[in-house]
Amino acid sequence: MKQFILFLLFANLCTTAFAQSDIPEEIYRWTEDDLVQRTWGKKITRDESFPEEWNKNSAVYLSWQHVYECAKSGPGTISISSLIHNRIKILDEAAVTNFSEIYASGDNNTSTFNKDKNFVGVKLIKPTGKTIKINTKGFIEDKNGNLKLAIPDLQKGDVLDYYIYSREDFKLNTMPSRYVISENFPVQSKYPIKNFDYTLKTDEDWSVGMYTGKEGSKIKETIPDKKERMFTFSVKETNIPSFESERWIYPFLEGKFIRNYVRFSRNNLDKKSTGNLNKKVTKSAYDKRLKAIAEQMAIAPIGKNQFNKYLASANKMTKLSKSEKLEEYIRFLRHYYYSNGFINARINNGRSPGNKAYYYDSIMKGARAIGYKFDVLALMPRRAGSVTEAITIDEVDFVLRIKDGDEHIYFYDGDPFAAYSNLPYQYEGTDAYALETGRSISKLIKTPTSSAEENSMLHESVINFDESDKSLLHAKTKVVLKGHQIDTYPYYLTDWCKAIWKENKKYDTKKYGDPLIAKKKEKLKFEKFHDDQKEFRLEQFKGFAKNHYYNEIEEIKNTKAILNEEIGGVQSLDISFDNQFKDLVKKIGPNYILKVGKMVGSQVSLDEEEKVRKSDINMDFARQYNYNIKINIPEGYEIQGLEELNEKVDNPDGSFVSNASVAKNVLEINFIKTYKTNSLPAENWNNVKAFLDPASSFQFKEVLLRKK
Amino acid sequence: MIYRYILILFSLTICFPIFSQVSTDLAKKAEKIFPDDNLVLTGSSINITFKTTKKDQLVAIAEYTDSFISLNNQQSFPYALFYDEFSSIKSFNTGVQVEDTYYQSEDIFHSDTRMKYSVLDLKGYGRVKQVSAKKQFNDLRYLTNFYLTQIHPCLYREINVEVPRGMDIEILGFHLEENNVEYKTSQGKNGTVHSYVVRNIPSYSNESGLPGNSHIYPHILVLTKSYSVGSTRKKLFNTTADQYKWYRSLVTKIDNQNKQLKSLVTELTKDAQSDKEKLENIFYWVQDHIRYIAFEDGIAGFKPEACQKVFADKYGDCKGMANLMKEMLILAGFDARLCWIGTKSILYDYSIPSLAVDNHMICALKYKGTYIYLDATEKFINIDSYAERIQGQDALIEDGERYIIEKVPITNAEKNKQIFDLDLEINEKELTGKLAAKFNGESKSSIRYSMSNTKSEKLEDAAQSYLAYGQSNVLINDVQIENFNQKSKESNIFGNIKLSEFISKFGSEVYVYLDPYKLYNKSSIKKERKHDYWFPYKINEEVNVDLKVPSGYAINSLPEALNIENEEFKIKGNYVQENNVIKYRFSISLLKAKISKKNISEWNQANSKLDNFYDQPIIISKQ
Repeated sequence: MKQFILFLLFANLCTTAFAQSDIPEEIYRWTEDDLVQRTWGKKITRDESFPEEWNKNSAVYLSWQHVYECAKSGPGTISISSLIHNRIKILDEAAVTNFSEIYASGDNNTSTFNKDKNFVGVKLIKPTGKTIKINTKGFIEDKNGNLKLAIPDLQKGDVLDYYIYSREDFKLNTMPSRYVISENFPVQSKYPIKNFDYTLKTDEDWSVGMYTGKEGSKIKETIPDKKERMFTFSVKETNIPSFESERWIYPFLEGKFIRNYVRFSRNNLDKKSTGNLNKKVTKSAYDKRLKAIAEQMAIAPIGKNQFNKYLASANKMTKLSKSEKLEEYIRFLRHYYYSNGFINARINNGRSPGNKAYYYDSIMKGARAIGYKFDVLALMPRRAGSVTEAITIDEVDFVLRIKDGDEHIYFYDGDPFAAYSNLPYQYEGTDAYALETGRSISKLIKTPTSSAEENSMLHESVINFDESDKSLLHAKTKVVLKGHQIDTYPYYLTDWCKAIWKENKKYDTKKYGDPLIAKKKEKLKFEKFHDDQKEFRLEQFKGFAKNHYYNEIEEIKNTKAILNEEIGGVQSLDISFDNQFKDLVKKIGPNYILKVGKMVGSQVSLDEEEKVRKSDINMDFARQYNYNIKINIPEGYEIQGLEELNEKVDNPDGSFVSNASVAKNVLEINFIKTYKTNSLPAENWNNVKAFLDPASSFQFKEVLLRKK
Repeated sequence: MIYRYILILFSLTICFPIFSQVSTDLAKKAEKIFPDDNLVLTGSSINITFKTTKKDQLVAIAEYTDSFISLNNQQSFPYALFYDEFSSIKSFNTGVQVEDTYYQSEDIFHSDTRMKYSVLDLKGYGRVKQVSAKKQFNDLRYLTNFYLTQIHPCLYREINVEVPRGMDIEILGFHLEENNVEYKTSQGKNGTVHSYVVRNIPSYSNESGLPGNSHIYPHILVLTKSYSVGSTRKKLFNTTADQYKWYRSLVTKIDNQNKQLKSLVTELTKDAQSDKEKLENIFYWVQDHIRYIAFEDGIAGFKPEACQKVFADKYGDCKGMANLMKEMLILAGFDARLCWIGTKSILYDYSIPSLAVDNHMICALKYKGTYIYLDATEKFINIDSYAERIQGQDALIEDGERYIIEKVPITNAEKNKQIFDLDLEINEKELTGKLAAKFNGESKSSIRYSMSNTKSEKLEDAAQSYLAYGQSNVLINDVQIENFNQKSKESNIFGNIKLSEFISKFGSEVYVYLDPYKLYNKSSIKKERKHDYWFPYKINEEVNVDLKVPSGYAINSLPEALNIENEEFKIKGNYVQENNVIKYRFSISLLKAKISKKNISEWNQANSKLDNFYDQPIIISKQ
């Protein structure tokens, strides 16, 4: 009998061991039991400890795990599998609410719950140790096709432990050429993470690009051997603190992140190679690509010939200098590619016109013909990091550059309002590989950053008190925007239909809705649209005026906005309007309080939490805000309180200057705030606060009109 | 005969330009009447008839016909019709792709309500599109209200209900006269046709603070009382007693196994010194431990979940939570009952037997001859308070085979008192001192609710931000939060306060603004508003500031007092000097949680005076 029992025990052990070793390495093969064993099995850790300072957090990820697998799963079949397994300790009611519903798409919404194979398991571990398995048949499909589950009995102190597994199968001969995995995310969460595990497993038929940043986590790479038949790329971290976003932060420039791009590529990963299985884009790859762009033979429909025809008809052929000719040519191209067809597109809800490849090709051909050399630049937006860190050329964008005298002129995919030199602010101050015409090797350069003066806003207003009601102010306002401050305002404030028609006339192209030539239907559509645009613009002007005065606007009229673009000049958007406002003057006995601080628009006001800064400061662009306000003082009154309006702060990173004076019964107030740069280290935060704080305080300033 | 035919065709062309694709004239007409809209219904109708099915069931068929006209160059919009377990869509004709999906509402985790919809495109000014659909109501209890107002403005809208002979139906009309709805009856093929026609009716308003739809928009409510099928007379809701009987039939089917709750109830009550304490322990346990997640799945939309399921899941909707509360109270020896109720947003009461009169379930406790109403879905309310939304409403309380209707008591604004007490002194250019904030009733629920989803490590920051009313020049620190987790007491937050930019100096004079909160500043209501303005609850708020005048300074002037009183609101503010302390006392009450349309002008005048009051500083000067 004893022997029989022993045998049974032995058999049981063997069976268990055998069953354990039976769990295949490949995730795609897993049954639900395999999955449960691997995620919830006896050998899996249940450690719930975490750093004590995390007790104040709402919840803690005891573990955050995401595993991908890309592999052949059968004859002619490829499987992409995904396993998410999270264990979360719930520490307060806010976390109970947050985690009381879980979605089958997981935390970062990067995987989809597809139909080939899916398993979901959810359990709660109570503080007493009791485990409650949740019935996952309660998953409900919402209107977007996502599956959500309400977690019953979730309480403070519980550990929520869930896995989501999905597998998608593809036929080999229909394998998509796109990236099957394309992820780019900072390694951070609003909850601290004790154990972080991001793993990719593939067989040899994949192109893998994984990168974690200059100071990022180490990627552990393994190549197949007797034990493991897959290539593995793994990022593991421990004790990641929680992350709260701050103003002006570019997470990819600091801190850790994961970039992962995976695409099917037959035999791309050589079993015999060692190390460096994932590669960043090499310089030679950039050189090759840049050369291809520079020498591209795309046949753009518009080129120098058409431009010469325009010049000839405009009788300008001999009168323009080389650089004027270039600028005229670019304007001509802007019209053809972006303006002509814009009205049609807006009215009929079509795609806005534009073709970047043709545009670039036309620029390059034309530049050559005029006698300029050009460069092609490869770069990424500054917030995404340096181009030297790109792991796929698909992340990279391309800009053209022409040297004209001492200056570089930049060209990028535009719109009907794009400036002649158009380097989007996203691409300022970032690394770029620049390839000069005729060369084969590119150089690593830094793109320029525009100055605050180049991105200026000048607001000039003349304000009068109403004769019969001193609580009502009448203002005549002019605003001039330059550089990146122009932004999208031309679309919202200018009569661009009229401006485009003017270009149609200049370049002899079709005028959409022209009463002389268009069909009746088109004319009607255009008229209606143009009328609607007037109303739309008026509403936009009201909003613009409200922002500029940080106050409700009673009435606005005489609105005008013109985009000035003289050849050889600097583009500016000139805006003017007349308005009234009521709430800035208050009668106090025989005197009046004038809330001048409200005439300079809203200001950045830092709250207490922001007084201390940990992350570097990255803004879109350097800029300047300049208000000049002249207020005519009514007869019989004098101004008091001007000394409170005088302030001056100037440091290498920014400045704030305000002053007020009275001359000939006119109160003149100047307010100039300058952000001198777009990028600063965190240590410079005190410099930034030094000019932001007084500008913020200015909003509350008032002067007294005292009766004489 | 021929003339009648021509007349009909002519009318159709005017009302329903079905056959024309572009109608510029009609567009111009619509534009003139609705100048602010880009999409208008030129004609919209619902024709409701009844028929007997093969299974001897009487069903209602609603046929919808809608004709849209575009008033700009491009309109893209959805056209949808809802259905559920008790209804079906028989046809849905839009001429474009039709989708069928669940209807998602933020308040409901899951509902079995589905919708058929199409996305319609009208490219061009004056483009017309006609669509039609047919919906069958299989259970006539669910044939309730139909609105003449629509999502889009209508040039012409009609609702026709053909009541077969022998069918006992009552059709109630609401807000018809004031909206110029024409009503007439005529003889149809199978019975009397009741027709409701309105012209040039605007769409649903998007103003804030609106009363519930049934309070303001013209509509009809169909009450199907009884009907005959063959020789059988079938009764639905002839009286409230019939309605209650049906509710009871659902409730008696709940398989409550309250034994599973016994140990918990014992635990909660064993040390209680009084009935009040027992009651509080049970009520607050349900409030704290059961999450509100609404599932509305067919009949589950009316039948409560069993108490043991709600207990095990630790979530439920209002019905499940009411049922759990009831069973727990019964185990504790109380006379607890389920109670149906319509919230304030619903115009009707139980004098009208219809499913449309209620939308909520709570628990009613009969105690010493009176009823106490317990709504555990109100997560942060005290046991002795009632949410504004149920105050004054009819409660239909189960009483075995019978029922009782009682009104939930109305409480006054005093119960919701919120007080900010500040003790300040002048410190150079700043005002510094202490703040004590006290919250009661629904003001307490409100702050607790706004902080409930705040992570615990951010709780103090959230309190600071709440007390600063989001102003960057108001700084609160050393915050202490008291009684936030204890239900029966007032909740308090204490801290140190610093106010920057509340002082202006002009020569020897110092202008000081004492009130950092300026409650209901710039809160005028648009004078064009067509409806009452409803607030979430009766407001009663105070700001009391004591300012110590620095030595060497004299008080030049104090602003004039403000005292405005009206049947719906009271505003009082004054400054008083007591020795070297200036006392600012301000209070505002919204006595009925609303500003009626007739009082909007008075409210705006009061608001203008209030804005001016806030702008007046105290003036002190150096001696």
